[in-house]
Amino acid sequence: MTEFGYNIHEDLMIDHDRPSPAFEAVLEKVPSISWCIACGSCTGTCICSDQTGSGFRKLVHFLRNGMYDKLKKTLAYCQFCGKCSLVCPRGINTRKAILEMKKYFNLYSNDIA
Amino acid sequence: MTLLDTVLILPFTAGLLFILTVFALKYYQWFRALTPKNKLRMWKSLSLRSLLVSILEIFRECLLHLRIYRQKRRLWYMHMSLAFGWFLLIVIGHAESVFSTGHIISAPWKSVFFNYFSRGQEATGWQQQFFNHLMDLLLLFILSGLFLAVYKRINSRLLGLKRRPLHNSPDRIAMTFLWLIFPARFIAEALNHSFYEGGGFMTGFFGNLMHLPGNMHFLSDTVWILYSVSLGGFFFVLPWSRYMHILTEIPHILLKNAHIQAYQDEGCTEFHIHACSSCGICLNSCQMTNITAYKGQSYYFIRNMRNISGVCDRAIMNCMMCGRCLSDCPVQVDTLSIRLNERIRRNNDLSFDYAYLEQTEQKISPARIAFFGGCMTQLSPAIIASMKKIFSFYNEDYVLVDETEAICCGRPLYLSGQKQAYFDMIRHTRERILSCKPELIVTSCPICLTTFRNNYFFPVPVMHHSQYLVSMMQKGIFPAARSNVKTIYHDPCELGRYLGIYDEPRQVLINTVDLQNPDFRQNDGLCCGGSIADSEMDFRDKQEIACNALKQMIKPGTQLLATSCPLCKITFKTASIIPVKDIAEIYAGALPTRLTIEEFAESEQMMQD
Amino acid sequence: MYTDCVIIGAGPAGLKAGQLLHSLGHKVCILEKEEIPGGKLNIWYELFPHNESADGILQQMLADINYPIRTSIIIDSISRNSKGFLLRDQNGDEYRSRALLIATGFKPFDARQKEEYGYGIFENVITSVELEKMFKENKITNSKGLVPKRIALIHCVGSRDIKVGSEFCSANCCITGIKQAIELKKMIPDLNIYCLYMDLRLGGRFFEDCYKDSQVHHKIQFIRGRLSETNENADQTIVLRYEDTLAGRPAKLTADMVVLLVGMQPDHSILKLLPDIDERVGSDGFFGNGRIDQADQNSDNDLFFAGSCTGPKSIIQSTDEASEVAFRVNKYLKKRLHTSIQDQYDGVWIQHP
Repeated sequence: MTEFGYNIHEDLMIDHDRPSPAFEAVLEKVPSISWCIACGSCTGTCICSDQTGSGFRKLVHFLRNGMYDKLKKTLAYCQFCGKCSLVCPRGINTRKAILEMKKYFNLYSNDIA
Repeated sequence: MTLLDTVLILPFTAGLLFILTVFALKYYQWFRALTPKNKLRMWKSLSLRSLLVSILEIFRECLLHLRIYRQKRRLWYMHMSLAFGWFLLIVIGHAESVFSTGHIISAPWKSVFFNYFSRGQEATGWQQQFFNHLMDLLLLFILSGLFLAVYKRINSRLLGLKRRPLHNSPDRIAMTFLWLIFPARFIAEALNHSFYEGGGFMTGFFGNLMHLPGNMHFLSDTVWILYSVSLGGFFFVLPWSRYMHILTEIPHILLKNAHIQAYQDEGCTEFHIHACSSCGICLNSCQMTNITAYKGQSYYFIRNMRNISGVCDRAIMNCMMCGRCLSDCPVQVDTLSIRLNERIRRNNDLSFDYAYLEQTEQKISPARIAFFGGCMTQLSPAIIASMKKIFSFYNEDYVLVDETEAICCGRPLYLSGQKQAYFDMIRHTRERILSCKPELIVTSCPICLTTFRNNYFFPVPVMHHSQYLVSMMQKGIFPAARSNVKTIYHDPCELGRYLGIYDEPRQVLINTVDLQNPDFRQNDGLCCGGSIADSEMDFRDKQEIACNALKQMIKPGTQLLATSCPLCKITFKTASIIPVKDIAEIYAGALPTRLTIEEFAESEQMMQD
Repeated sequence: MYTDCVIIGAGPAGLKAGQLLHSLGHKVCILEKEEIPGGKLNIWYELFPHNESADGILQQMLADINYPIRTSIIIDSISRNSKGFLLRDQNGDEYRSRALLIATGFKPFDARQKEEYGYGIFENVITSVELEKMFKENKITNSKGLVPKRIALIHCVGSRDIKVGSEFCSANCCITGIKQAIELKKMIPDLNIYCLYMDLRLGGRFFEDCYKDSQVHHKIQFIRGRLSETNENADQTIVLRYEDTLAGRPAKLTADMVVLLVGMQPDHSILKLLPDIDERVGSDGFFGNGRIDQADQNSDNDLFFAGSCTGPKSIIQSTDEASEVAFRVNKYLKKRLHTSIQDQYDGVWIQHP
């Protein structure tokens, strides 16, 4: 949340008035991320969700709500196996979305800000 | 040398000098760009024997194009007539010039423009006649191929190509010059023989047909100059066009026979992408060709790699890496490695953090066989249930490595170009699998198997479950209950083209079902479309590819589709009307239920008594 | 046989339409492929929302039937011309009518398509249809013949799922699941029941009351998360993997039995006999286009559809639609009423394969 102004305290309230530029950027490359109904199939099948608690649904959630720190952390856990794509009932191209998110934040290895 | 002579030979000679310089410089540059290890391999491979092998292959492939001959005859004739014909034209032309002038070494234009320089001279003896007819024959040979080449632009189906490549401007310009060369030579020589005596069966014949008055002599000179300009123009445009392959195929073959791969080697990659002859066969092999107006097939990809413009990210990731293009390529351009190189170049620095994998508390109990299902098998529980049944039947001491805590083999990560992340992650997977101290590792997923064989360096044998089943069958402990279900087997890309395992799944099926003989077998097998190497395609595209593949594979009367890859099974199930089963399910279905092998042997004994 | 209207299907819609058309004075005949009439009413034990007996409702519908209902009829061919229809069955009997009402109903989703749920692989995974049979037999037992202690009901099986080619919502499975959960709890009071859902679609009257009742009086537990994978333990209990999306964490649950609430799928078997009505199939596979504007339903058209063959429906919705369609059939028949019925059947018949 530090990108959006000068906050001393971390605001626990999500501010839906503020747009999320990362979401718009990734949405342009992967329009299907707007199809998510948050059913959670992706997280249920995700091989790293047991140990990290997060899955693709959370990534979309973080992206939409501008929670970029959590997003960057969670993105790095992905093993890119593709199971989420196979179970998604809306047919979202989850792997491409993850790649595009990673490229957008363009971090170099093991240097998570 | 008259002024006319100089004007005549100038375009050709300048072009020739230019192109030879360009080749020399480029090859030097590319050789230098080889990795040190590959350079060493190169020097080591320069033995007489291996050079002979290479020269034979150069003759077979660069001139005779035998690989195309095995695939498409008419296309082969077109390529071969131009390549071999032109080669012979140069060699025999040089021989003609040597015979006529007596000098072994002479300026190149003496043989190229032999007919021009020898006009007015009397034809001396049968040898000259022989040369005249031979040269004419070669010219006819080339022109026939040229006719096919022109026709191919209008209707490529005649040559067996469903899609013909759409060339860009430098290619078109070079091609235009190339197409002018031989007709120009033909007309120039014919015109020669309408004014002067001599000529072979073709040029002499046509020459005599034209009764041109003497004051039209300038026509002959003009066409000769046109011939020279075509040659020169072709040479000047060549470095920007696909015709670099003419000479580049030679070092490419030398590198190949020295076992130097294009993978992670920039110099070798340059040789590969310039050795591509743009024949278009890969366009017909690629199953993405009929899905939308896709322009990412190998032909376009390799061409864009040659250009300054480069390849866009979408096209790089939009490839199933199925290997069909490489399998069919007559030049054996390593399209898979080159695409992977690009993916690594672009995606290797993306973030990753697999520290959480160290925290796994799950310590797997020791067992003789470690069965690794893999991510895809987990979405197909029938395969896991079948393998459990099979292992119980054979009383094996086994453990399912990823039953409660899943882990990935890493290949999807690798194929997307995230190489660093891949090597970091597989340490954990390897440790997890070896923690149960197995004597044998069995996996039901060919994708996992490929990466295990390539990068894991397990101290114990690792095999596909079809190979395990065959080994059990060979021990004679298989109670075959063969059903009459008409089945077709689908060769998965990773098991087939990558690993070369074609026979074992078939052996399992021959003993359990009525196996039919399909088209598209072995390394011609179709990709299911499920590919984890392609992250661009969405579900509908993959379904369409699966649907098209099924239409081509399934014959009327087929009752079952058998495959040995869980991802192929999942993908085909979204598009298939007939049931799709893994070979493990079929094998388990033929076993008696809930018996161990001892109990079964006992019951067999009892039945016989 | 000569009739004014042949009705294909003796389910709730067919029976209602037949009754109404008969009371309006028309000659009707119902053709049913099963041995007994009632359609899918025969597979239910109790009906939502008030737990009325399905058998009781069926008996009500079958009372005072004064027109023929032919059962065990497989129709071999249907021919059509400007005057009406000619149907032939497997025994060679012929039925002629001026109008045809198709009330062929739905078929339940084949849960074997969803392999990751384990149906057909793990014995303790059953469908809602099979559970209903257990209610009829008054015996709930798992694969080992024991009474289960924990049951999970899975919503949206075969619905809203692009991967099995069914993107529509089946509208009635959520309430079915709640009804079955309450029935299970009444039969086995110390049973732990979990409903795994994506969204709860409870649009009908008193449906929300059922939901509240299930939570207040029966302590059914609702978890918002779509089932991802199943696994089987050595004792044949099923381990479920999903995400509890409200908690935002991946979760697991071990159950003695898993009930898949399968959706209602369109049944296209009639298209083999009447291929040119293919254009009447909507994008979701059911007949009709779902529009409010009925302008294209001109009263000259002699072919009608009613019941769950036009979309997922409850019993009440089926009978309501059947009433509406019966009146339209009546309007059509009155328009075309000329001389005696027998004279209508001259002319050339267009043969369908």
